[in-house]
This record gives sequence, C-alpha cells and structure tokens, in this order.
Amino acid sequence: MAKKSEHPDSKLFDYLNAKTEEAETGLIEEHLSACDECASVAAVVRAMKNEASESEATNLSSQHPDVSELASFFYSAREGASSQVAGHVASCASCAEEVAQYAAGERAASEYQVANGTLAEIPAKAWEMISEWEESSFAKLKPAGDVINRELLERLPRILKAERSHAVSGTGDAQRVPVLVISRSGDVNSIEYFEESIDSSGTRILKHAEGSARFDQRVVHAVFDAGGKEPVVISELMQSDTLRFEQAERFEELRRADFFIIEE
Amino acid sequence: MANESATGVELDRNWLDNLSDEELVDNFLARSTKDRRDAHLCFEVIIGRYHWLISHVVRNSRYRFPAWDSADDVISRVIFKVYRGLAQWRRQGKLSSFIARIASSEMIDTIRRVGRDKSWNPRQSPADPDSDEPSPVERAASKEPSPEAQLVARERHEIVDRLLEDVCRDWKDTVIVNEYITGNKSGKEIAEKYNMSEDLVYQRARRLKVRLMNWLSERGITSAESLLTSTVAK
Repeated sequence: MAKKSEHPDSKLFDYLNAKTEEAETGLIEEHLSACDECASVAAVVRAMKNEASESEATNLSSQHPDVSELASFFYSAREGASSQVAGHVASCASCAEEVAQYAAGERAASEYQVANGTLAEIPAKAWEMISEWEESSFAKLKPAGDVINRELLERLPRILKAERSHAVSGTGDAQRVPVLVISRSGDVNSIEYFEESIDSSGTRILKHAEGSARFDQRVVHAVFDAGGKEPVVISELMQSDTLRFEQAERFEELRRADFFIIEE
Repeated sequence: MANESATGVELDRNWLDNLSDEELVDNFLARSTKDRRDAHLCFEVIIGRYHWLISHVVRNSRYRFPAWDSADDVISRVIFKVYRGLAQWRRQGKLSSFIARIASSEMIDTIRRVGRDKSWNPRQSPADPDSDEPSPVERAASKEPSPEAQLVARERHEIVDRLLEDVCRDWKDTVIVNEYITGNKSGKEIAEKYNMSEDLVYQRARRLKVRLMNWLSERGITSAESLLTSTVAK
C-alpha cells in the first residue's frame, strides 16, 4: 500500500472550491484516495455546500437570531458565547452579511479620531423622538440597576407568590431556576429557565438553559427570602446568556430566591 | 469649568468640551433626571464628537436604503437610541464602539424590516423598469417541495447546524465556514469584508478542518450519507 502523504490543511477547501492548480489537485486527489479522515471531511463539506444552497433556495434559515443576539455574538470576546447563533451564522448568508456590517462598524470605531469641539448636528427628527420618549412613561434615564419603582416593589411579593408554584412545577429539575420576565406594570410576559451552578470561587452562576443571549446587558433582580425579615433584593447585569452573583456564600443565610427581569 | 448659578450648576460649553467621554456621560446621566436642558447640552457635545462616526457607519454600509427610508432617517434613529441607551454603556469598552454597535444594529434592523418586502433586494441596485430581465414574480419557483421533502430537508439542515454549532467557536469561525469552506470566496475577499488578516483566515480554516475531522471521527462518520441519515449527530 502506498504511503499516505501529509494532510492537505486548508488547501483541501481550495480544492473543493476548484481553486487549486492542476498539480496540486492531483496530489490532493491522491491523498483523498488513501486517507479516510480527509475523504470524510471532503464528503461532508460537499454536502454542506449543497445544504447551504438548498436552504437559501427553500428559506430554511428563516429562524434568524434577533438583532440583539447577533450583536452579543459579534461583540462577545469569549469563545463559545452562543453556539446556536454560531451554528446559524455559519450557514446563513444574510446573517453573515449582518456580521460584516458589525465588523465594518467596529473597524470604523477603532480607527475613529474623536472630533473635540465640533458643533453638534442633531437632526430635528432625532430631537422629536427624544422629546416624545422623554414625555412618555417609558423614559427612565436611570443607572442600569435602579429600575424598580415603588409601585412595582409593593406588588412584587404577590406576583412572585402567584407565579412560584407554576414556575417550579414547570422545571422538574432542581438545578433549573425559573426567571420571570415581567412588564413594568407587573404583568408576567414569560418564564425563562436558567441552569444554576456554583464555581470554585463561590460565584453563583445562572446560565440560560437554551443558551439564548436575548437578555444580554439586562438587569436581573433576585429577591432573597430572609425568613420573616424584609426580603433582600440584589440586582446583577446579565453578560450574554450568563448571570454571575459574586460571593454566593454571603447569600447562604438567606433562604430561597425568586428571580425576575423587567422587560419594557 | 461649570459655573454656579441661582438654579445650581450651569454648564459651560468649553468646560464640557474638555471632559473625557466618561465624565461627559456621567454629567449627562446625572442631569437627565433633574435638568433636561443641561442633559441635552451634554448630549449635543457627545454627538458633536461622534456624529461623523454615525454618519460614516450608516452611509458607507454595504446595504442600500429603500426610497422611503433615507440614511438621514436612520441617523436620526441612531442618535435617539444613543440618547436612550447611554446608561447601558459599559465603561470598559470605548464609547465609539458602543455607538458604532448601535448604528450597525439600527442598520440591520432597518434592512430586516424592509426585507419583508420580497421584491426589494438590499444588495442590488434598483430595478430598471425598461429592462428585459424577468421580474421577481416571473422568477419565482413554480411550486413548493412536498411537505415530506421539506421535512427531510429541515432535518438535514438541523444536523448540519448541530455540527456547525460544535465546530465554530466565535464569529470569525462562522464567517470562514460560511464564505470560504462552504462558500466560494477567497481568503483575501473575506479578510477585506470582515476586517481580519488573510493569514488569520487560513489559520482558522486549518483549525476548523482539524475540529471537523475530530468531530466526524468521534462519531464514526465516514461519509456525507452517514452524517445526514444517521442519528449519531443528534
């Protein structure tokens, strides 16, 4: 049996794109006839090419991540930030174009020299939108953690108690934690499930069970039951699909916690 | 410097111009609940610094706008969203990056909204009414595949998605798979489009090939057929 030549690294992809010279093509074909591993990669990439063109034609990629998920995916420095979004973008032409838009924006931002002392040119239309928003009840120019108003705070115990039994019975898993998504007026919009763990440094971690980053940069509030005393509310900012409560041991004395997110 | 006045601290434009972005945003947030006129002045200085960037991101986009939604409209919406979102700016990132993210998201949102009109293609120039080319309606497929065929296609698509979820680690991997490995673009084209070096494209492609090879070998998959028809990938 002939000795197997070295694996053709990225040249294999050039070959599959019909972009190799004749001599190179011959060498790769010879290698593929002797190497099962590379042959299976080549076969699967060919199938993926077919899938990509078929899914574009039949619009199978219609479940695009929403814009905030895509932004979180692009701007996340961590690897494996959202595997579902990664899987989608790798096979969706329009989402790849959108990622190119973020890349262009980021390039412009990194090269930008701030224009100090320039006169503002805020269009009248922008001022109109700002003014309308400021006049509406939704205008809350407050720091991220300071978003619970007194009325909502007074209603919270009743809302959480009413939803608790339903949410807990829905999980069926002690490690899964329900998080209520409620409006400012106290209506429950949905219940999201998070997987809870504590890492070696004692940080209590809640990770969205479906890996969704739709709550990235949103504040999550935890209401801890202090056993007869006033409940303790702690708010933390969600990073991508994960929420971290540092120094979890300081909450040990507190009993169960209810989690909620306010969604406008 | 800010001047004392009867109503408290009156802002001076020159003083604002000399503040760092962080200080300026802090001033804007602090005043936004007390004195909107002052908050607006802070905001004007912020936009004065970054208006060119917003305009550049919007006007130099790869997308074109429909007639009823001009670049000026998009810029106005971006400025409004910057105003509304400044409290969410994380100080470890640059303000320029935060603003460019809002501008890009607004562009994408606009394109998605208008994209619901299937006759409008954001990546093509307007259709010539006198052209002999067939219209989108004429080019439309005559009939859809059967429900069974659609189900099979969807299942195959899900298997490929699962494989890609496992081998792609970040957005750079995903665009290299999309444009180079399964697409037909060159490393140079991808490097220019996504603002990365050509060397990085090939380096990532080599790593992706190794991950792909390991993924298939761990599951005993030796052909496209065994990938798309078996349940090992599920």
